Amino acid sequence: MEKNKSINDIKKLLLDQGYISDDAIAMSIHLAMFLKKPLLIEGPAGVGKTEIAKVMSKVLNTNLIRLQCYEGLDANQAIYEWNYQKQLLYLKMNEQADLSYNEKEATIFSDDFLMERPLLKSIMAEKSQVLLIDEIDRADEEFESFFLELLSDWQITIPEVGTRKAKSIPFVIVTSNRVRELSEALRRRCLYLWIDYPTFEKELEIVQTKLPEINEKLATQICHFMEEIRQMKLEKLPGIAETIDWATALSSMHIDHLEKEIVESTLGVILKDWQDIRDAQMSLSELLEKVGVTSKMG
Amino acid sequence: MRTKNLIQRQTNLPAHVIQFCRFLRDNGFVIGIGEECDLLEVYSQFIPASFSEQKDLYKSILVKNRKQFVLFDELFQQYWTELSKAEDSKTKDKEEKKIQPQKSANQKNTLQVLKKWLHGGHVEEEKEISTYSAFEAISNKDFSTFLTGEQKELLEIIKIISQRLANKYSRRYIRSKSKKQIDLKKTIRQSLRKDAEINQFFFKEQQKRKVNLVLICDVSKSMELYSQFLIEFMYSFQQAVHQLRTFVFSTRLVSLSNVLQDGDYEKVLNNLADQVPYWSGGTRIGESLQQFNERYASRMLNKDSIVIILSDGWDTGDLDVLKNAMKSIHKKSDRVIWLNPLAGNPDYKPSTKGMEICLPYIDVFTSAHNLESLKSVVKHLKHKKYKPKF
Repeated sequence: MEKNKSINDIKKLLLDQGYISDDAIAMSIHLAMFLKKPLLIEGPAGVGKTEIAKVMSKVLNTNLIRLQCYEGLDANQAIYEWNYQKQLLYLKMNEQADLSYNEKEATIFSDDFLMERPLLKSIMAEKSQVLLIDEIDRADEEFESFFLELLSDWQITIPEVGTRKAKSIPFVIVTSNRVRELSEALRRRCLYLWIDYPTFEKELEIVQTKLPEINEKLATQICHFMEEIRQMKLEKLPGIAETIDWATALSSMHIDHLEKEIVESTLGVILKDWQDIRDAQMSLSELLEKVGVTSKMG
Repeated sequence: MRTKNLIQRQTNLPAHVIQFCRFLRDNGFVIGIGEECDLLEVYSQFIPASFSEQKDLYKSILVKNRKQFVLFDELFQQYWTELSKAEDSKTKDKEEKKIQPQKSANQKNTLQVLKKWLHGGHVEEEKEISTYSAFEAISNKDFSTFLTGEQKELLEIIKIISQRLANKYSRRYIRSKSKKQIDLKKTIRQSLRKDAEINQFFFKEQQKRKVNLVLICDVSKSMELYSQFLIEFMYSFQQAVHQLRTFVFSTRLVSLSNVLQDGDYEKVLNNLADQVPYWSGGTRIGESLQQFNERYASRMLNKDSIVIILSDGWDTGDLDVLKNAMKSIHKKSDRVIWLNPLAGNPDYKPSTKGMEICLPYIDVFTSAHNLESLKSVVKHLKHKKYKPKF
């Protein structure tokens, strides 16, 4: 992308790929690309944090390399690993060959025996890639420190062979659901973006973009309903992903407006906690009234 | 919101950026030179089209967490208002220095309160015990009459407790002597030296996890009797376990980790007085725990954390709040241990409303009123769950 793209251009590029953004999102993406800094995105689940990375890889017309974090994830899984089995085989095969210690070492610690994991892969590509480090808060704290060298200097040090400098600098997106607080060191190296639940207008726009054939009344009602349900004290609030799932489900059943029975039977699409579903059922009439659905009594 | 430095109209961009960053630093933002350089670099290539675009630009670069993200808009607005004010009237603004001297008087006051709390409640109690059983061993003495000489034993027990708590395994590996799992990486590396002849295997095992302990103590009026023990307990715990967060509450929650980390017990006592201005006030467990949830839980609790709550469960606050707070803590942590000094009494029943509501969210419920009972805590920690039958 050119350097001096305006914020509106970025919004339009994202929109072309079906992603509705706002000024703050577009500005963060613009600056992250311009400053070549990773973008740390936090926010509740299902508001489209991961989606940004996917869309960006389409916008930039490049690959998306994804590292899904989990507890216990270590450098071997994230950066690189030596192929031990292959090394063993090589050594066994060449037992009789008259190779010196140095020669052997040089061979088995060469690129042929190196397995690139996402982080190394992302900087060794010729063309700049999109690197998504998803849900980093799930990995343990020690893991964050693996990133630091990569994120600030764009290089990875492999003790056996030396430092690998990046051939191209990837566009890095780090997402977190705030299960735990991330370290200051990591935050300092990133630009920060908080994405919250969308406003009614934005959500409606998203639903209509994703499902062009949806009935307008239904879409409006769904978005109103979601807005109201997020005001409730629930264990797990539904995100945009749930809204879209629900809208898809309802419109595929050729429903053109919300009714109490329909909502009741499809609550499982938006709420994923037993207690939440029960709470929502209890106050369903009230909720629907706010949305403007009058229930037929009896 | 504070402004230490006078905000003035700056004629060049760098000065302006620096002034704004300073303003944010005064308001608790951590901004380095790196961020300032980034801003200037962006400005060299990109001119924001509108005021709100300019705000987004600053925000993207300078904000580093959620709290700042929420605060930023208001601060930005305030900065510009103040800037335009500064233009209107260039002089005025030297009345900011007269708030501090009162503090020391206040400190003395709180020290008095702490001292009273420490000694007031238990002096008579001590006499009473020493008259009716003169030769009772240390281990049966009520903690309300605990002496500093016994700190050592307490420390020992707490060390055992913290070791018992650390019984989870990490998914990381370390070298092992037991021959369960071969460490291929190490084996190959070592064999290379001997001409690639593998004649010795190396093994690995899962590392034990560090526990992440959170200690929340009740220092309200009803706990006054156990005050000395409480402070000893918190102090020893902090000395034994480095990864410990300590909080106390009566009507409000206060973090004490920094204070307790001092090696000198006397100093700790003095500092405690400054930190907690309302020892032995009323009890609002629910509100205090909720406060913990809002401010600290996301940062401190994970599936490795063990939360130890030390309270008698007498709550004067909203019970619904208490229930929700306990539910949330229980969900976010590995285990919740409730030590209740009253539970030492054989006739005790958790009949207070607060205690009843909390019980479903407690994994281990036991007494802690003297060393002996603390030893039994060690026993119960072997089990993942322990609740006596009432």
